[in-house]
This record gives sequence, C-alpha cells and structure tokens, in this order.
Amino acid sequence: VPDAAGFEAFYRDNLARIVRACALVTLDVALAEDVAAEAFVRLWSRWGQIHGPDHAGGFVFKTAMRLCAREVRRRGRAPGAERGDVDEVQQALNRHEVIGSLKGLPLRQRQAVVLRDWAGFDTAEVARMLGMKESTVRVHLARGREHLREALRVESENDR
Amino acid sequence: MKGDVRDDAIAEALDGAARIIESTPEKLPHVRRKGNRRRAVRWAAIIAALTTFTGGVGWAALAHKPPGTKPSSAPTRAYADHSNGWSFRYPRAWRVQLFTSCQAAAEGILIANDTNRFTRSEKPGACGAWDFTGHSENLALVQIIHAPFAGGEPRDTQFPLSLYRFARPSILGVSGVPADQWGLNVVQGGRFTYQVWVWFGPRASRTDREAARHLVASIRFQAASIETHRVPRLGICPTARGVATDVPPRPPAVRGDIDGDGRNDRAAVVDVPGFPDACSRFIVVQTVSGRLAARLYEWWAPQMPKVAALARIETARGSDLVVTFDAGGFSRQVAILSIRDGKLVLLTLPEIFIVVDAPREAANLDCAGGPGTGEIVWTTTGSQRGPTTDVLRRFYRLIGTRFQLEPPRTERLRVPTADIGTPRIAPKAPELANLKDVFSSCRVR
Repeated sequence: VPDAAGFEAFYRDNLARIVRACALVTLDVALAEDVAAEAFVRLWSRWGQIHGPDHAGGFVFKTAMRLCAREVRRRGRAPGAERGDVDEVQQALNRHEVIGSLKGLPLRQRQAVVLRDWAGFDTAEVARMLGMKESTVRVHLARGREHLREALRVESENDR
Repeated sequence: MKGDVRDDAIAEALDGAARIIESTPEKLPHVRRKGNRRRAVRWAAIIAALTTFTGGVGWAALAHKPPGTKPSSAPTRAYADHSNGWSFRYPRAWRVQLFTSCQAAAEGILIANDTNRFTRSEKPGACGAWDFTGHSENLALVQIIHAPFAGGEPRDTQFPLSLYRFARPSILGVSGVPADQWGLNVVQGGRFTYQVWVWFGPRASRTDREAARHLVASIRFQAASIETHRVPRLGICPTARGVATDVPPRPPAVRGDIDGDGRNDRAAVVDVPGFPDACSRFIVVQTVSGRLAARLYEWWAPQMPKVAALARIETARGSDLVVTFDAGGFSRQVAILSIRDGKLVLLTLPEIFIVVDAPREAANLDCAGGPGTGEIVWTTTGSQRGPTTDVLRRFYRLIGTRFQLEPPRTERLRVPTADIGTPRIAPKAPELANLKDVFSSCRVR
C-alpha cells in the first residue's frame, strides 16, 4: 500500500523546485505547473516502488524533464513565446534578464544548464535524466554556459 | 572540459528568475486521483498481458503436440461413394466437397481441414487448377478424382496407399497457399483409374499431416471389374457389340435421358483394357432397355476423351452425346453421337469441329435456333485487328446422320476482342459468351 503521508510530504517539499525547473526549461509558468503535476501523478502511481527521497527526486526530475521536452516539441513554438493573456508571474519572469538569454538556447543546452547549474545534479545524473552520454552533456553545458555568460556578461573564475 | 564544475554565477542568475515562481500544493487531490487511475490502468494492462501470454502458451502447447502424437484417437467418419467407386475414413472435423473436373464429366472429391469452399483458378488455361488464395496456411487437403488420361503401367498400385510412395511434383499453376503437393496415379488392371492428390499449406500442423496420411491409407477403390479375355474381338480389336455386352459405363458417367424414354441413362467413355490404344476407346451408354457402345476413332493420347455434354440437338425427346478430346493447348475436338434405330451412331461432321477455351483463339459450338431444331452453329475467331477480332459463324443442318453446311447463312462479324468470353458478346455471337461449355443453349447435362 503506497504511503500517502510520505508522498504528501515529498510533494509539498519538492513541488516548487520541480515547477521552477520546468519553468526555466519551458519558459512558460502555466505549462511548467501542468508538467510538474503530471510528473507527480506518475510518481504517485509508482510510489510503492520508490525507495527513499533521492530515488523519488531523481524519478520526478527525470519524468518532468522528459515531459517538458515533449511539450515544447509538441507545441512547436519558440520557448517562452509571448502570449497575450499571460499572468503577472509570467510577465515578471519574461522581464528577467536571464530568461531572455535562455530563450536563445536550444532545448537540450537549456536542460543541461538548468539541471547541472541550477538544480545541482552532477554530470552523470544529468546524463541519465536526459538519456545521453556524459560527454554529450558536457558539450551541451559548455555551449549553453558560453552563450549565457556572453549574454549576462558573467565571467566565472575559471574563465579568468 | 569544465562541465564537471558547477557554475555558481549562472546558478545564481537562474535562481533569481526562478524564485519569482511560487507554487501551492492545491493540485494534490488531483495528483492522487489521477495517479490512482494510472496505477489501476497499469495493473490491468499487466494482468491482460500475463493472461494473453499464458493463454498463448497454453494454446501453442495444445496446438503443437509433441512428435508421435497419433491422430487415430480423433473421431473419424466413413465415406463411401459406390457410383464413383471410392471409400475412405476422414477426421470428423474435416469438410468434404464434391466437384466435377474441368471440361469433363469426371467427378472428384476434396477432403480438407479448411471449411472454406474451394474454387477453380480464373486464370486462362488453368483448367482444373485450384485457387487456394484466401485459404488457411494450415491447410491439409486430399483430392480423389478419376484418372484424367489413358494409359497404364504393368504393376498395379499396392494398398494401403502410402504418402511416401507419392510423387512430389513442383507446384505449378496453383494460386495461393500450398507449400508442397503429392500426387499418385492409381493403376488397376494395368490401367490408370484414379488420381490421388495431397496438398499441405506452409503451416500445416503435424497433427493434420498425420490425419491426411491416415486418410490416404484408408482409401479403397473398387477393383476393375472388366475381364479382358471375355470381350469379343475382331482381329486385334474389341467389337462394339462385345464392349456393349461386357463393359458397363464405369464412373465417371454422365447421367440423363439419352434414348428419350423419360428415364435416366448413363454414358461414359471407357478404355477397354488388354487392347491396343488405337481401338480400345469406346463410348458406352447404359439405358433401361440395354447397353450400347460405339468406337471413338479419333483421339490423342494420353488424354482420355470425355463426355462433355448431353445436348438436345435434333431429337425432340432424349439427347445427343457430345464427346470432346484434347487437341493440344486450349483446343478440344468434338464428336457427336446419337441413338438411331436402337443403335449408338457417330454423326458425320463435314469438318473437324474444334472448340477453344481461350479468348485469343476462341471457338465454340452451339445449337442454332434453340434445342431440337437440328441446326448448329460453329463459330471461330480469325485475325485480330487492333482492338477488334474477326468472327466467322457457320451454320450446319443435321440431315439423317450427317451435318451439312448452309453457306448462305454464314456470318462474318467484327467484335471487340475484349468482349470475347464475356456476356457482352451474347447479342452478336452468344456461343462465344461462355467458352467453357459446348452447346450451352441446348445442353441437358
């Protein structure tokens, strides 16, 4: 029997994190909320087979990233495309400098940067979540970071 | 490569944007409900897959019994046809289909594990070939038919028949399923009397193959009843009177009123064993009042002549006998016999009547002006010019026992080539609408 209380606690603790990760990838807050909800639906349907919070975290992130990619491709529109009826949160997000920079990144590079630099997963975990080789993840990361640094005029210590 | 080190500056910039987004757990009940549904669907799919797999494995185990399984325990049914002279046992679940051989009066029987009806191939020149298209790949089919040609071998066939002694000719002219076929000419009294064919589809089960083997082993034919030494002879040939006395019209026989007494008679071409091929073929008619015989002077080995039809050409009652014999390719030569003054006589034809069951060289015979008028029309096709073909219709009148040409009635037509062999040509030359049958309009049998 799935542990409902345990799932609820995990859900409350991690919902915002998943929604934010999805929003950074899709650049669409409403879509990010829907995708996050679906990722938690799938997590709950398999909750009895999940072993601990780390496993659950990896599962829900991986599922969310896959759903994000599918939705972005399915909708066939440029990530973060402006819509006429966007809410205040979306407007605030769109105004943010980094969002403008993320729009210029291909989906895979954006996912790699969000998972590695924002979510803090190591390269091997990112590779597993995205279903690609570590070397490919590193290439996507390098290109994505280069683009963002240039756009944000951020210079990391390593670059100096 | 610097991918292994987290870029804090980028992380901070991304986090600054992401922190704008707040989320509340208001969708939790929805997440639980949908998750529960998804779990139920997944379990149902797993159970269905397991059930299907288990059922499939079980079915396969039952369908493919291990080697050595004997079908003898399966219920069988006896079948005996005294008029055709064959009997056998076959599995109860199998289906029997009677048929008449192509362009002949010979009868045959099919016994198969397939309940669909077997039909002939529509291909031109594929006379007699079965079209197996649409039948099961598990097909097992046994066919018994009277020998379609004359001749024989010195050694009679040994019974019980064994599939291992059958020849395995390559499959030619067969449409559809069968992967292999076996055939055997049965020899009795030194003559070919029957043919047995067996076909198997590419996925025929071992059980059905065994059942077919047992069926073949159970086949029995009535022994040849003609004692050759008893047939009176003149020189080296049998006499017609002697044949009429001693040789009954053995199956396959055509039935119908031939002598006009209103009762069924039987007619068949017989090959009297023990005599030279040149004079051993007779047509024998068994009527209620007695038996008549007439020698067939023309025919070509190895095909046996056949009673192709009973047609009412002149006689107001009864019918004339139309005998055909293969003349090569799609061509058949025609002989017409009639009972006159209590004798079976061969009617004299002014020329060699050839009928051809092929649209490119079509030719056919029919009554002209309806049954019993004594008039016939012989239609042949000539040269083909573009999409049309020349057609020549010649009319003959029966006077006594001789047909005579009536030149003034001869018609020369030009018809669309594509119409030959189809109902479209009926208004101009009805005898070319159906090339398979002779004397279609006055045919009794």
